[in-house]
Amino acid sequence: MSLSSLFTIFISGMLINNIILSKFLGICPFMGVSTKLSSAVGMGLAVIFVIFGASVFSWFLYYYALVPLGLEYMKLICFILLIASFVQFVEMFVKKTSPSLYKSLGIYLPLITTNCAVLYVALDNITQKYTLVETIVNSIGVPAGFMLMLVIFATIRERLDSADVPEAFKGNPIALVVAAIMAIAFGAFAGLV
Amino acid sequence: MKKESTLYKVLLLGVLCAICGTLLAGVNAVTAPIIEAAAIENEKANLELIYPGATFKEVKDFTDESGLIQGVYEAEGKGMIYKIKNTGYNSNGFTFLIAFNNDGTVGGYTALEHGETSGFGSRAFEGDYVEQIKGLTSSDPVPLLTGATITTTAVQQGIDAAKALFNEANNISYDPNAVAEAAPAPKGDPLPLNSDYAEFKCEVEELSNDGTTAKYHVTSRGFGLLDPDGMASHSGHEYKRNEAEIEVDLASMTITNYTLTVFGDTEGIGDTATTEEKQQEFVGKTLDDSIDSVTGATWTGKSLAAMAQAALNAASGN
Amino acid sequence: MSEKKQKRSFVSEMLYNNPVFGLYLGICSSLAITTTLNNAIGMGIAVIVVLVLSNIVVSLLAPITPDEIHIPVYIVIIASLVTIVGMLMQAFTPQLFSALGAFIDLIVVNCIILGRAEAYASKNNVLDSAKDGLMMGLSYTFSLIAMSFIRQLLGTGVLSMSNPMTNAEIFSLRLIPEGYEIGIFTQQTGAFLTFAILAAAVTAYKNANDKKEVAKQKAKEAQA
Repeated sequence: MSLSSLFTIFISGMLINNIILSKFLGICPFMGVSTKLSSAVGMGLAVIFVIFGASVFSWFLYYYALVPLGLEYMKLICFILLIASFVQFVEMFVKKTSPSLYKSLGIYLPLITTNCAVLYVALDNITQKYTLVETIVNSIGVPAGFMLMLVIFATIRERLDSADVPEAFKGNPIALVVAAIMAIAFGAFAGLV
Repeated sequence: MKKESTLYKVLLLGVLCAICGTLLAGVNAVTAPIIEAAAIENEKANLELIYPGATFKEVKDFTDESGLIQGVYEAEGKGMIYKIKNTGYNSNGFTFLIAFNNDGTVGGYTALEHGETSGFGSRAFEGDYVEQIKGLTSSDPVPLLTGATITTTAVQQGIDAAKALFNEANNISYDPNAVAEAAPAPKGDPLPLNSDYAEFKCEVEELSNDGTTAKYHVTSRGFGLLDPDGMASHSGHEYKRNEAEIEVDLASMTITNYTLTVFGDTEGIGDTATTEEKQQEFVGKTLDDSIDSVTGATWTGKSLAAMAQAALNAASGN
Repeated sequence: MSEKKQKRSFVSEMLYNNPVFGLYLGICSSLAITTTLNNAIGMGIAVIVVLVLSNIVVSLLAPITPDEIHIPVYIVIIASLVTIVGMLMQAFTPQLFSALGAFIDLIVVNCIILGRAEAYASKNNVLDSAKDGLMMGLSYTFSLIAMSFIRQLLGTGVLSMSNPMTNAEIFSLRLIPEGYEIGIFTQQTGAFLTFAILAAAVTAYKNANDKKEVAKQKAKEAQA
């Protein structure tokens, strides 16, 4: 695989098929965390780390354990258990090394387990039959797009808080309207590669 | 055993996983054959084009570096079929099947879907070229087709990918870098030099005339500027006039030298009519002679003939 | 102090506790696959099956499951159920399976299922848990149907359904003349917009209903 095809995978994962605006994954935690910029940045970095680590480990698990044993149908169970364990491990690590970060992330750190995006990337690497290098690039590109969205939305939502929003739309509904407009904007990336 | 003890936890998880695993294995055993049969059903109609009546099995496990192989199917007792998708001249791409019999010979070559230009790239999927491919073995290099180079290069890449898989699976050694001799450009109808080439709007400029030999600089509309069927306006290619320097012997009114200086038509297609040999063909020709056109590059050939006529006319004072 | 909580009608209860528009759980799938009614109903049924069965199994296992490992235990149960449902769908309803795509596997991380297992099934008996699973699942399915109804109608102008197992068409109604449909509703933007409007509608209903209940309560207290 050439450098240009790796670049394509990265840009495709981050912008063209943006995980939030194009693939609709990772929205549950997205709604919750994108309210403040500081937590958005911290969450974004945590998600990049988790998706990267979990996907690479899943790749190895699939090709070196499940396939040789003919147990491909156990893929879902094994991947989600791996993700849960990995998040648990990251949680313990963050708690020990940086208690302030742990406190600021709060409940959202263990909730990364149920972030659809994590499982999706792990599964997608297998579906697309990516090699290890392609897996690594994809597993960084996609959460980079997630973090990009988190940061953009946090800044917008901070402004929305002081805007005059109709009662029924306050909070999540208006954020979704913003997402709708951004989806149009990001649609412009469609012909990029 | 206490609920809090580690042994209990490990046991609980272990038993649970074992039960779930068994359940899954059971459901898998029931559903997997149904899923496989359904997948083959979709493809069966196509596979039967090559090995009618055979039993097919899809091979899921294959490593294809090229990314062109869409599917690998085994026809029991007969051979292997590879479904290839690549892009030729038409950016929508094309799909075809290439099959190798168990003895290594090509078992079949059929296009499933293609949008190549009729009379040009489409020749890669019909007629002589198909017969040529069918006569190969899995270790032979794949020839290109003059006048359909872009399309057949893409076909060649696809077949090479299939060859790599097939030869590796059957331990056949072959040279992946061998190049086949290109099939000679098929001869087309003769182009008489005294035909009506008015539409080519040739312009002649006499460069020199010493009484024995006259040298002319001639320009002519080519394929793109004539725009038959409106194809040139869609291709986005920049077409120019063709230009040549032609020398005529005034005594015999024959062409003594023909040199194409500017080629303004489609590269890879029209230039099959402008090779050194084709230009040499004009030497010794008079207005009563004709040259052979090249199939797939007829308009360019006519443009060259028009220029030759213009030069001969200018020499004879018409 | 009189009971603050009043008995609400069935529909009202559904709207208050609607997992999708009220609690914002399971959003990912409701945005992604609600382009046709078929998809919505297919996905809804799959989720109901998984939710009811997982609630039953979790309710049975909860008493003997120590706290520390309850998450992995629930995950294994849910993942196995999802894998089985996925395999059955791939074998018997292949068109629906390929339409729903990766979202069948993603039912595992559908917040609704793990959420209900944690919040309800682990604390209640089997029958109640099964009922709760059914109610939540139905509520989710109705939300999906509402979304796809709007999206398919406005986006393609046609309302249609077909039998997922045989692909035979059950009905197909063209309600908006050809050329007048608003294509954007089948795209990402339309999904977000439809969801936002439906969510706002539910919120508005809840706010209005809350005001009514508070007013009723005050009137009752004033009378007493």
